[in-house]
Amino acid sequence: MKQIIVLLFCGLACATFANAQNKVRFSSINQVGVLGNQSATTITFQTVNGASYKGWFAGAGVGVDFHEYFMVPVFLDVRKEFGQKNQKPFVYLDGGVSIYSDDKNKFYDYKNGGYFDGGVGYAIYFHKRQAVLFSAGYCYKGYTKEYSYADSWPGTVETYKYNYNRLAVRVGLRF
Amino acid sequence: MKKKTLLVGACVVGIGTLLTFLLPGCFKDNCSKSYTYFVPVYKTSAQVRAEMKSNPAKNVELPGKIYMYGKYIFLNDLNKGIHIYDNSNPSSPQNVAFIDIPGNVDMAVKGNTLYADSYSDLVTIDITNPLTAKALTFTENIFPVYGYYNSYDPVSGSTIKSVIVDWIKRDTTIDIDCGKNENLILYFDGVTLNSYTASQGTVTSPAGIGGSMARFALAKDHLYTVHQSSLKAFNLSSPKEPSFEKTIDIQRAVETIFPFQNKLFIGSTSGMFIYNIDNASNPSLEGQFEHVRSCDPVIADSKFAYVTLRSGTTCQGYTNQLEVLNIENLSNPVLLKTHLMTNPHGLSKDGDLLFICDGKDGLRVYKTTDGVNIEALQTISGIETFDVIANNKVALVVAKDGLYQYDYSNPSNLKLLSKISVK
Repeated sequence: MKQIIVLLFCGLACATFANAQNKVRFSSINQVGVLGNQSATTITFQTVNGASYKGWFAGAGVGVDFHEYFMVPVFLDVRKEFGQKNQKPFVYLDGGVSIYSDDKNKFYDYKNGGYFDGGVGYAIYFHKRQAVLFSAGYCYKGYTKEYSYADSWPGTVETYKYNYNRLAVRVGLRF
Repeated sequence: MKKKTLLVGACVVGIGTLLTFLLPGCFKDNCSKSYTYFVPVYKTSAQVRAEMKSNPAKNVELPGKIYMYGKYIFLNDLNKGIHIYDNSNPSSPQNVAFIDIPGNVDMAVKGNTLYADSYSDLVTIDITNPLTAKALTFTENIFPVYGYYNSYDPVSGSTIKSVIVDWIKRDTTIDIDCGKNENLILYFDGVTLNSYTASQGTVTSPAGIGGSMARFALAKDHLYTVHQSSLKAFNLSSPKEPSFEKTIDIQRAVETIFPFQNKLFIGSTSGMFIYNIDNASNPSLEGQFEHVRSCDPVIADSKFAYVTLRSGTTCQGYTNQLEVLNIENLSNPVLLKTHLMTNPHGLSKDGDLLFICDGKDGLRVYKTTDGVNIEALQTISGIETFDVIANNKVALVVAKDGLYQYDYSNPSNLKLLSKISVK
């Protein structure tokens, strides 16, 4: 929860900052895509909102990932576009927390894990500040669940660690 | 310009599509399961019985149930045996001996005799001098759930009774499927061990004093034990040779037994049962109080019964509270009040003071002038508590990390006298 509050605060600060200065502008990125690897391909949605300045963008994002388990990444996003034309390649880096949001078995203690996403993309501007985005990168999400046998075997815990490593291919709109 | 844009867009989509189908093979989910399993160490029953005596003192590993008898504290080390402490000075208890009793969880002391379970057997141990205690008799297979192993000896061609005397802990990690796999498997080889709960009931002199989570109770020259769904009665008119008299099927998962006057208060996962022992050889059900599924140690006095309900993997349920029952009419206990707790385990009452082990929240001390309402006096946090015996201004508290003794002369400001640490 703390992380979410911090991220929302950052987003709000970015938006405020964007309004306060002429060259810094609020920007919203909304994407849909697939997360794939050799065993599964699942769908992902995300929205990132923040401020852009001279080709740089920084903001806070939240997503919905339909892995084998339903997970919600909450993260900070930094990206940089290159070039001055309407088609601009860019790189991006996301980091945050992945919140396990699927059904919970009452016998387990669920712990959120890390979230990382990084890659390259291409922005095609069809208006001054509106663009279609294409991107591809590496995406990691994880979480842990534990089952304690404290009642019968003190100090004994069964730990399950789930690490999802996926190729993330996304398309979206920036405005 | 538009054509170029469309061309670039088409290229990007095409590359993205290719990436989606080709590159995923480079990525792989990685999921693992780490667990602990235990490998049993066996001895023959003959070897085990020969070692069932006072041996040199050992460090406590897994503190279980406690029993006070005179100046001595008997502290169960789960499934291993009983530590004997000379508690003449509660500020400095002396670890004087350890009785090896494999499979031991419960105990009771009457006179100079210690009664203890050892897997399926009831063992009688002479503790006239606790430093030279020795096993006297064995009532075999009286708790058949926790049995021996029979292994074939190829040399003699006979079957040997084996006993698990220890477990070697091993940790391991394996890869698992990253999909929805909710299988719960407890990896161990051998008997099912009892719940990690401390032991039991107050008794009149010359018996000792046990905690509220005990499954052994002494009353009216009898030893009463509860295991699974049964209540067993043993006649102790000849203390060193307990005579089994009767098994009563309670038809519920029974956990604790607490004797008070001519009654046995039995805690089960679904309710409290009151058995009348006017006829000590034949306890008869006098009353019961149903509650939600939960673990429920119980203590009682002449007017009230105090039941703690807790959730947990063994107990299931979601309830964590203290219930105060009016038991003036034993055939119809009435719930008077419920007090919310975190994860209450054992409890003890001394006069108008109520001590409750609230799991990870520590030890709670309350004052109850009317027996129903409670006023918090102090909470000792930072220890994970399981059971408590409050007697003569000293509270013995079994915690995950050892046995604590507190002076409660001032119940609002308990003073730590000593701690026997787990090592």
